[in-house]
Amino acid sequence: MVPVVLSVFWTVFNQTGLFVAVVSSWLAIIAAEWKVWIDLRFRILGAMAVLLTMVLFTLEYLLIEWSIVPSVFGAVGALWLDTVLWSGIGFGGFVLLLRVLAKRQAAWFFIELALIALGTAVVFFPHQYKIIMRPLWLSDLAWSIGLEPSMALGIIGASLATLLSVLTVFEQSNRRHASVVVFPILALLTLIFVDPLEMETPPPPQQLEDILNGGQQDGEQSSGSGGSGQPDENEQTVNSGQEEKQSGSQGQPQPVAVVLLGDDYTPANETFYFRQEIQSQYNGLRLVAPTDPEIPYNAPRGFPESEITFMPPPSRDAYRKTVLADVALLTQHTSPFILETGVYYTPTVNPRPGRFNRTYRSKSSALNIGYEQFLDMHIGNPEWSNEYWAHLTGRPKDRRYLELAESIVVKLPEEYRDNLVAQAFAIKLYLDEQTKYTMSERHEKASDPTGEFLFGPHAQLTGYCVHTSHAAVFLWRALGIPARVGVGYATPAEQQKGSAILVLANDAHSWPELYVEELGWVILDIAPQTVLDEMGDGPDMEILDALEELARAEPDSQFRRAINWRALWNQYRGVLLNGFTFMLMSIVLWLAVHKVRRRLTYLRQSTPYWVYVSALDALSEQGWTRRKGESPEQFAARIHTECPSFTLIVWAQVGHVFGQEQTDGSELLQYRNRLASEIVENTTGWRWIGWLNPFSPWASK
Amino acid sequence: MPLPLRIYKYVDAVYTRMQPFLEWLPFTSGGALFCASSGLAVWYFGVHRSDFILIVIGAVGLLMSLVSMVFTLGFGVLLWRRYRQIEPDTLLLRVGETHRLEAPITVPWWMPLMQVSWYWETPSMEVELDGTQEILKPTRRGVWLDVRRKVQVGDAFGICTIRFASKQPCTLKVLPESIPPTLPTILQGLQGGGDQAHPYGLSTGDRIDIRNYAQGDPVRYILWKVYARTGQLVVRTPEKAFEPVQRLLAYLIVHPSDSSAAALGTSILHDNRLGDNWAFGADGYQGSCTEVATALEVIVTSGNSNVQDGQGLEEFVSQQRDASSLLIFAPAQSGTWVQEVQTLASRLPIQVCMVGKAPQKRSSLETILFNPRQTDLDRLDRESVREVVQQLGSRGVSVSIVFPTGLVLDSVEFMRQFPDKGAA
Repeated sequence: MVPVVLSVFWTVFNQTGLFVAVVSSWLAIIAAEWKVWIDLRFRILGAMAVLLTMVLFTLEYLLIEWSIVPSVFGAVGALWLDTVLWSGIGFGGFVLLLRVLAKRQAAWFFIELALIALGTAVVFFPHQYKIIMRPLWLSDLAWSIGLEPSMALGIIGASLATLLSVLTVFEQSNRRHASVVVFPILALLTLIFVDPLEMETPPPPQQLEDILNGGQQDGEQSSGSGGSGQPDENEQTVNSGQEEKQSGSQGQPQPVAVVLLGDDYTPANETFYFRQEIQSQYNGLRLVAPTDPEIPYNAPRGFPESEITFMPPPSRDAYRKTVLADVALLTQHTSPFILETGVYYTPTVNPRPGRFNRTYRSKSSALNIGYEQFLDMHIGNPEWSNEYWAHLTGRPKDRRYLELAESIVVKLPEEYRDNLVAQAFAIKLYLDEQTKYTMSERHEKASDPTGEFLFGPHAQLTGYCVHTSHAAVFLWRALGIPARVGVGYATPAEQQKGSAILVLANDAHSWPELYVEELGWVILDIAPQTVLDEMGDGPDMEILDALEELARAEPDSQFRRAINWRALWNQYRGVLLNGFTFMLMSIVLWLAVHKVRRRLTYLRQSTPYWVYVSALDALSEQGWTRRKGESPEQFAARIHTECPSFTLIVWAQVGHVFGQEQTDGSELLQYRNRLASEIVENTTGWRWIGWLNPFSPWASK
Repeated sequence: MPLPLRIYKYVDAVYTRMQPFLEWLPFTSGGALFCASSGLAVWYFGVHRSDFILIVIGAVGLLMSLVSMVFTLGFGVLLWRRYRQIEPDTLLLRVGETHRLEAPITVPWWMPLMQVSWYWETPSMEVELDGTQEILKPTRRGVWLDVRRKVQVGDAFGICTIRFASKQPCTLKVLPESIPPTLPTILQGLQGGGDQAHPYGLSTGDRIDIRNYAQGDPVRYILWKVYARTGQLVVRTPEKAFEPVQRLLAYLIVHPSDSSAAALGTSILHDNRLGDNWAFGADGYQGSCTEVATALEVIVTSGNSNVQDGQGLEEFVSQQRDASSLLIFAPAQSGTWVQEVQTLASRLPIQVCMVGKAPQKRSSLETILFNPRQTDLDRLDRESVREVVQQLGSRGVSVSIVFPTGLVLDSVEFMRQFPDKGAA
């Protein structure tokens, strides 16, 4: 119950309230032991609970609303009284009710248990959805002692499970169970078999799915981001719920992957573009991935099981830099994303299958020059076939695209007016200036969403990356510039720490690309200057440290795999077995010494007690033992036929205990020797086995 | 359309037949709740929300449930094989006393986390278990040839439990409880040996005989003049028989609430307080007995008797030709025995001793607030006693109310101390 107080009301009560709640819960637990609660009628108990609740609400009303209380105690005093009222009487009453119900009927005890478990888990709930860095105080503590936070959480769970199990036994059992030692073992076994890190990987981020589909999902799925009109209140609620889930429990954007760069590389425009899909085929509505197998597709489809090499861009050495990258996906994806422009892909061994959904290595030929150097270059490739040209310039038949493109181009200085690169830049700059970015405007009900985005009438020039990229590509294509849309993640350089880049769900993006003869496909992203949406929280970069080490899976990493018990066993088997054998032998030796001492002390000290002890031990090692509850006299009578001398020894001992004059020592020794003969007479030659039994004195008690 | 109200009878009948099988269903209600909660913790919090703590707790909970179920069923079968028939024994117990005996059923040390408990189905017995000991508190006298227990085998968590019946051939004799032998003064009025010569009469005796006053004697028979002269309360005997036969009949009305009455009868017989010439009978016993040992045995065995509530009283009296008076040990509650006594009131003087424990005092507030207490069956019901006193008093039957503590109240005193609530 106290954990419940501390956890559930941690944020509700202030320090005083918390203290009062703890004290009141202790008092309630003591008060619940009062027998009167058991005799009380159930309906009276219910009525008391209802009455107490009503009284609490009434008192609270009076404390807060009744002017006399704040005037006497002050506003702070009134609030303090209110806190004490709820934390003391309210919580105490609740604990008392729960305890009493548990005492009356065992089933309620399990509800109590569930509340304790939930109450304790609430303290650690920020770690849900695999955000193992949370709570930070725990992860810091875990790392400081060289433990992985997830393992620390698992150990907390195992300890709590053990505690609750023992509590259950004490509450429910009518006898003492030495076997409660099994619980820690059970909990540890659970920890091994239910490795928390091996749990299901979260689904792919909604943002990326949305962009891949061009925002053209069915109504129900897309309601989260609004429709053609203004989203209603319910839609907004759903959307915020989805985004909350994607962002994790703390409002932080959800990490989807870690990219470890093998080479030093910083993009010229401070953004890493990880391309997952290429959309170049116009399907009458929007651009999609090419379905014609004749059309070259320079990116992996799905996750190939073996390595793949893609067609390298031209002049790769002059303007591009080869960048090796190891990617560890945290969530499911339909295909890998590779830093532009990917030339090689190979799957790698996942170092933490539970933590990472998939890992792979990629090689890219990343652009390493600024935009200003493009001007002297040429658009398109003269070696392309007419079909491919047509494929890369396909667009809506709407003439307004061409008219708009020409109206933009015409404003260029005379010397650049015929330069296709300059024309492309002019259109990009136009869209940068004119468009307004918002995720809530999808244009999904329009027959030509890009047309509606560009020309209205509804929400003209208002939309998000799908619309801006399509608009740029269609305007470029209208001018005869081969272009396409790339989909993947655009991760700002701020999310890079050293060689590691944290890719977030919010980085999902769609951008326009055009083909420059000297460079290959070049990203010319649109950056709307007007942003209507509120920007979310920045990423939690501390998580990057943990994920980076996990992804690297270095041998000396503190983020180890789950304990390898077999390796541990092999490593320590010798020590353990030797230690165990040594302990066992020590115990046996000690028992043997103890036995010999009991057996032979009577030779040195011929008192009735030691003669009796020796006789008792000698009998027990041959199987004559006293039964439970049997007196020495009864035992002697039972074996009198076989060992009559034992009766004399017992009488001497009993007489000694009751203050009789001590029997002569020599006489006792005589009895003892006769008993030894009687034992020999009544046992077989295998009696030596009894001598070896070190436990026989324990049976003679 | 009327509801098929009798359907519950069929349900009840089916349930009764199914009960032996249902008793082997392992999960308790709390255990089922526990198992479901653990599953929820694993599935909802663990798998779907990746809660590392709750998945471990839930998994341990599920493991515990599984272990409990397997252990309970497995060890339950072993314990059933071992204890469905227990070794014969001989037990001599006494109602109201606590007997601490070695428990016939124990859980072996190699059955971890198992616990066993049981109660007695027949005979009725309050049973407490203390480790390896069985603490018995009999509630009903009688003689039985076997003991039937209902054994409950469960795990230490209370998650799973099964039940099975266990039979032990046993010579079990439960004696009535022990209370002080009260009623000496009343008995003095009923039994022979108290007669004496009239102080004014001849020393050899006179036409008018008197004897010492005894509780229950009519006040009008008291010789006040004698009292004034001697200070001794004596009563005039109504008439003197030619052959003064003073055979006292004593009879025990067998009733579910007769525990104290049987106890009083036992203690009076045991102390030979009935005088020299008496005959004893009880419901369910054919005939009468005049030996103390036999009478005591009759009282013990009457605990099992099916003949109850005074059904054998008239036959018993009819068999006794030379009876002078009848002393009845009756429960402190009304019953058909009252009519039986009324029919005999004209045939011989009857003294009825209604024996029972004092009624519990409980205020109205206590009645509202608290559950009814487990009360003794032989506790005195004041309304019932008042009714009996009035019914029998109208027939001239003298009634005394006797408490096991030794207190004896005549009907007048009882009415004074326990007034009618309705009249107030």
